[in-house]
Amino acid sequence: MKKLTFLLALLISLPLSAVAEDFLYVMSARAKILSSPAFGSKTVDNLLKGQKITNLEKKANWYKVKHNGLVGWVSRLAVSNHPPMKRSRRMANADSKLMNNSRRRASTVSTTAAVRGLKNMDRSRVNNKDVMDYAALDRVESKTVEQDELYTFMDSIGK
Amino acid sequence: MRNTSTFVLLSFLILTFSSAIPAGENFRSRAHHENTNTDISEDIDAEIKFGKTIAARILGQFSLYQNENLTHYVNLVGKSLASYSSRDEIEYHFAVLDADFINAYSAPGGYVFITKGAIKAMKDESELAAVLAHEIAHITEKHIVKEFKIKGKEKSASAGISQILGSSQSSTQVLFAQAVDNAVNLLMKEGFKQKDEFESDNVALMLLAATGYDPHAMHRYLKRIKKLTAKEEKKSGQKPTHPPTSKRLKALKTIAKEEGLQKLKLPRGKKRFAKYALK
Repeated sequence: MKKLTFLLALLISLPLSAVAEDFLYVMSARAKILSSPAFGSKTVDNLLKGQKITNLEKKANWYKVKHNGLVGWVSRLAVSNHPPMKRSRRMANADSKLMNNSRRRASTVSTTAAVRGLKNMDRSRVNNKDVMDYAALDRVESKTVEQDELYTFMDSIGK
Repeated sequence: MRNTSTFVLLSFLILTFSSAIPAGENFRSRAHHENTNTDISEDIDAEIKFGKTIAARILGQFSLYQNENLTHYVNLVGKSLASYSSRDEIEYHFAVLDADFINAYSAPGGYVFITKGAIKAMKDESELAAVLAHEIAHITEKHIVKEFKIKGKEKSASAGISQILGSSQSSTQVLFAQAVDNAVNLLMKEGFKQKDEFESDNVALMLLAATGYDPHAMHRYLKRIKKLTAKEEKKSGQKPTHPPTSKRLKALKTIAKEEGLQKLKLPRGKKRFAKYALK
């Protein structure tokens, strides 16, 4: 009877203990588990966005975590207690009415600004306060960086 | 039998209370986030719409600096920092403005602008990273988003920008334009709240260190441009958009101490920066 009762108590408590485990999710594209709660300390493991890690302890801006059997510290910048969202796509077609109106207004005034040669800070601040240049914004958004190139560049930082 | 019952009850109570309290908190926390996930997605759409318009306004005031190599390099440095930031759900874009004064701006949704003048005053890659990291931090900490209460959906009567963003009526478009005006004014003239600026400096320092850049670069750069920016402000008659440099320098030292970055020595990237340096 005693054995049965003990087993029963164990069964009831097991799921509760399982739920009690505290998890964190990696929010940044890249993150590092470090050997101590300080930047510059040895890298224990590399993490990627969305990975679920066990939170063992919090100390100031650092979390002591466990991942793949490895224990170390991760900065609060990189983690959250909820899963990250997927990358938002640029809303190219969103709010098209507003965009179209703005483009029209911008193109007229941009031409005027170009004619005036508005490169000087003071002139531009005074003269084209309400201009919206969506053509320039398109150029900014079109500048992309290949992931391979970015990762190579990132790996070269500090070398 | 009585002993058995007491044992069962005690076991149950001990195990339940040792685990259920944090479990309950976790559950509430997870449930809260799960419930708001849809809203968060809509909030980000609203943030991007708002930020896009602000970015277009900034570009309406200043031309883009036509230097493909430099722009690509600034994007590489900026995107490297953004990869370690807490907000990967948005795409970051970096651009150089053809302006000789020293400043940098960021608009919600991932738009970061730096002036040619600001780059000219830099000595190495870590200083460029420091300025970009500060601007990224304004975006990750949602300073403008919070200031203007930008949300995708809002049930309350004071819905603010949320209803404006979803509407196609001309009257609401005017309200949208007014909100953009106020945000541009904040960026260009009034400046962020001092606590937001200091928070951005704090996050920037951590971002620099996480990415592998010298976190002391921010202090070095601000110290160098202190006189230059004061001169520019005097000449243009513009109110400074950032807190007094002496205050920021002091705060940066405190942050470095608190974050344990004081003795951290990381590379400055002087050699690579020299290839793109502006004269």
